[in-house]
Order: sequence, then structure tokens, then C-alpha cells
Amino acid sequence: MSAQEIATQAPYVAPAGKTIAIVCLCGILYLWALMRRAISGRFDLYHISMLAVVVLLPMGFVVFPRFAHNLSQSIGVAFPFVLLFAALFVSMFLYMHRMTSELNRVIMRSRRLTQEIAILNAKIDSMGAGADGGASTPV
Amino acid sequence: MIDACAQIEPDPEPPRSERVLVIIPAFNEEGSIASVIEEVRLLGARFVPVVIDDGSSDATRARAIGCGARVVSLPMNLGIGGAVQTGIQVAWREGYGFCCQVDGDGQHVAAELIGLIEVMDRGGHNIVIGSRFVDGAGGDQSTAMRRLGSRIISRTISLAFGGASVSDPTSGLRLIDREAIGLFAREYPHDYPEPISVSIAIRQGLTVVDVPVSMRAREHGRSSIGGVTNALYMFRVICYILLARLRKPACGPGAPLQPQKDES
Repeated sequence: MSAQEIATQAPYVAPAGKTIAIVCLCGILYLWALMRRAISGRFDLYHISMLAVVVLLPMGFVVFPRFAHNLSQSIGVAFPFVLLFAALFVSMFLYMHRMTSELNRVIMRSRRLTQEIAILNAKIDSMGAGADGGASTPV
Repeated sequence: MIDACAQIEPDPEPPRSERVLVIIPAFNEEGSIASVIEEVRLLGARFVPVVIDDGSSDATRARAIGCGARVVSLPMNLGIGGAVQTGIQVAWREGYGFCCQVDGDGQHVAAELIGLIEVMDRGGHNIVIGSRFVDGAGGDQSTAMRRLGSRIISRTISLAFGGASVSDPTSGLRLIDREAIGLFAREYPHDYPEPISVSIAIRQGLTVVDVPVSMRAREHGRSSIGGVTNALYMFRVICYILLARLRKPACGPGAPLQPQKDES
């Protein structure tokens, strides 16, 4: 029996009401916490949306179980939760990739800024020394 | 070593395009910085020392200012690469024809710069490296482990860049010309910069030559490389060298930056 056949023969299992309630409650609480951070300006919209994926995907899978089942079967995955974890992994990977790139850019900029500050400070010091008639730090 | 802060008769100043900005990166080097500055001063007016205080928490800055040296103080510690690049940017903006690095720990013999500038003045090279491992070199030759590491890096550079010969790629005592200043003002590695910067320069088509020099053992402070970090250092450096080889050369050294007008 091929993997595709196994996938198409996997039974549809609807999530229990408790499961839906718990997942949705946790998701809503997390989204609420994220929104508070967004409102206070600690996270920007990009970070909020990427972090929200962590709860929106599971919520989508439990609220629309039939859709999740059909989607996973259409791409040859027997169980929807496998698809759920794959989607979460991809979204987190994309987020990490973007964050690494952003972090690197910020490090480079802060280094350059630190150097600029040091050079300008030295220049200001030498101008002050020149105005005072001192010549200890020529520029 | 010589007496710190001795009074020296000033020579007539040559034009800035002929002068050498001597970058002295220093992080907590209060014990040796004064003698290093005076050692550089003894070389004459062509050599202009600038101390890059890399966020020291001791009296390094005060001692350097006390000796009348120009000090550029970084507000936080950037590491050796960031400190040296700060000095290179000063050299680039102020129109210095050459610049070199002399470590603030007293390990480098500043008088060796005379030999380096002689080779540079003969022309044909963009970077002159003071090497401990060529015929005629003397003084402290480092530990056997470091010599082995240096040889491996040297071999890697040679293989990566079609036989380029750099016998002491980890040497910090090096003199660079205006073209290399332009390149490094724009791009200079921040971690373990010496061997990687040589690779970047060779990739950009700059030429490098070794000159035998003597070095002293460290008197104060301690090296950033040692112990178990050696293996990690080697691995990272080799990866960076290979990355430098894979990169496309830029249009020309120093392209994005414009030097300030020669004020001399």
C-alpha cells in the first residue's frame, strides 16, 4: 500500500468540544497578550503577525477540522497534525531567518554608529583643546 | 622599551599623503600604552600615533592623553576589528597615505615600521605584513600551537588564492596603503580580523608581501585567543577565508566613501 493510499484511507476524526475550547481559549489569551504588547509599542505588526501564527494555525485546525483533513489528504499527508507541525516549523523558520538577517543588520549599524560617535567625540575634544589654546590632541 | 612620555624634538611634518597613521588599539592596556606611544613618536614626524581606546575600564585613555597622544575612545568595546577599523576610517577621512597597526600591549616593536615603510616606498605592494616566520625574523615566535595554527591558515590562504604567500597571516603588525585603507574603511572583519582581512584584500586584487620582524612577548594583559578557543578560532577563520574566496570582488577599494580634503 502506497503512502498516498494510506493518506486517503486515514479516517476523519473530529476534535472533541473540550479540545476546541481549550485550544481557542489559550489562543485568545495569547493573542490578547500580543495585542497588549502591540498597543504599548513593544512589538511591531510584523512580529505580532508572525508570533500569532503559532496560535492561529492550531486554532484553524481545530475549528475547521474537515478542511484540515481534506487539505492534508490532498497533499498526501495521513494525519492533519503532521501538516500542522510542518506549517508551524516553516513559519518559525521564516521568522528566524528574517530575525537573523535583521539582527545582523542592526549589529553592523550599531558598530558603525559607535565608530562614528567615537570619531566625532575625538574631533569635538580636539576643537575644544584648540579653542583653549591646548594642542595635546591634534586632529 | 623606552622611557614613557620622554620629550622628543619634533621633525618638520611631511604632507599627510606621505604620513603614516599608526593605529594603536588598546583595551585595558594602562601598563604598556605610554611606552608604545613614545616608541612610535621616536620614529619621527612621518608616523602619527592615534590610540583607539576600545572601551577600557582602566586608565588607558588617561595615560594616552597624558602622553599627548590623540585618543579616539569607543563608547563600548567593539573588539580588535572594530577598534582597528575606527582608526582606518580616521586615516581614510583625513587623507593619510598609509596606516599601520601597532598593538597597545607592547608586543610589537614600533621600530620595525621603518623596515615596513621602506618596502612600501619601493612600491608594488598594498599591504606589508611584519612576519615572525620568514628568514631574518627574530624575537618572540609565539607558541608551537600558534605557529602550527598560523601555518594552517597560511596554507589555506595559499590554496584559496592561487598560491598567495602570506607566512604570518595572524600578525597584527602591518602597513597598508591608501587603496587598502579605502577597502578596509568600508569592510573590515570584526572577529579575528588579521587573516580574514588579508583574504579580503587578496580577493580584491591587492598585493601582500611579508617582511621579517621581531616581536616581544606580551608584558601586560592577555591574548584573546588561547586554550580551547584555538580550535574554534581555526575553524571560523578557515570558513571566513573560504567565504572571502567565494565572494565577488567589489568595483574598487573604498568606492562608497569619499576622503576628506588633505588638510596638511
